[in-house]
Amino acid sequence: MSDGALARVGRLAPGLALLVVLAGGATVVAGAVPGVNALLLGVFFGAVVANTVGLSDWARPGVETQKLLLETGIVLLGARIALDELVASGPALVALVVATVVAGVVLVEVVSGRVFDLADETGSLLAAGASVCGVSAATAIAGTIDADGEALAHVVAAVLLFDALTLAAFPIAGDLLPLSGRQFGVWAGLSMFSTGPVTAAGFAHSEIAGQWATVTKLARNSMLGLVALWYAIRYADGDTSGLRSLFEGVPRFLVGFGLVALIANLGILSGDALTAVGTASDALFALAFVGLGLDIRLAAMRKTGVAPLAVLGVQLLAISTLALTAVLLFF
Amino acid sequence: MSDSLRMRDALQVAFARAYGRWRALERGWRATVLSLGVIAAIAVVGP
Repeated sequence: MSDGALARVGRLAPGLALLVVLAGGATVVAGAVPGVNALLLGVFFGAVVANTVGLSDWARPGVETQKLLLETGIVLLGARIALDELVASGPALVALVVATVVAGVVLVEVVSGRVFDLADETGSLLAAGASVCGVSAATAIAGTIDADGEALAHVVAAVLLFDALTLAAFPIAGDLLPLSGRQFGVWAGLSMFSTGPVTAAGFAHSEIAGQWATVTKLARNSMLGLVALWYAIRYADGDTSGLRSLFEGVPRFLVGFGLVALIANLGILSGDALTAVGTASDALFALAFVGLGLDIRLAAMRKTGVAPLAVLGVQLLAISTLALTAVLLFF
Repeated sequence: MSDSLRMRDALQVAFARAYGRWRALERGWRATVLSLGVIAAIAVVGP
């Protein structure tokens, strides 16, 4: 192994060990206490550590791998997706995804500009963050429209606050509402903002809900290219050089997810091998969700103004109601 | 230089090149490569 690779492994090891310890602790406690979900407890443990003792510099590089762990877990989740079932629900699911993304973007643009008098750029970042895929979408659109860093920082803090709130609220709503696993998964996938919390809330409800939540959220994520293209054209006053953003905006791990789903559905792997792939995916999610909790900074969230929070609140309420109605009608 | 030393040097160069390519990949592609590696390992070694 080269010196550079060895040094890198050495830098990552302490943070990864912290993820393993907290995820292991959450699994043990959840196993001992009935009704407690290990994934959500992992997020909670991470948030407690981040907001009490804080995250030390020695742990940061390893903890920052949480997004890679989450995306790898999602790609491996492809092995558990039944393509025939997905294709059967495909048209309805795609129609719902397009409708909720378009409705969400339009609603946030109108509410942020006309009701709360926010700057155009802030409204657009909120619209992309809430309607497509949270912080990654807001960051991608900030690059597309050349938004200033402070606007992006406020939007990111507001989105993260809603990620934390919805991560707690959706599983509770799932227990209270008479929804099947599939219905809850599609509803969470259409309504919540970021991929990590959607996946965690889905699996906190049930295995089926977790799969549908992830698939629905991935379909929403794939809209990022189109949304980025639309903003590139809008902010460039009709200049279509932003066509590149159509391809640059599509998350790359979607390709891997499709590839793994195809391999699994071709019957190349045995049933036992597919179960082992599923176990690997679960283990990666457990680590990634602790990292998600370690990313929650209550102090930074408090600095966010009231207006962005109000805009996101209106979007969440309207879109989750619309999505719930549609899910009950079509799924 | 003996054959084993030459082999070791060649392996080191190949590893350094592969590591360089890995570092240059976007996160989504890394997730895809890692996943395919996990699946290949499970398929070869067994669950």
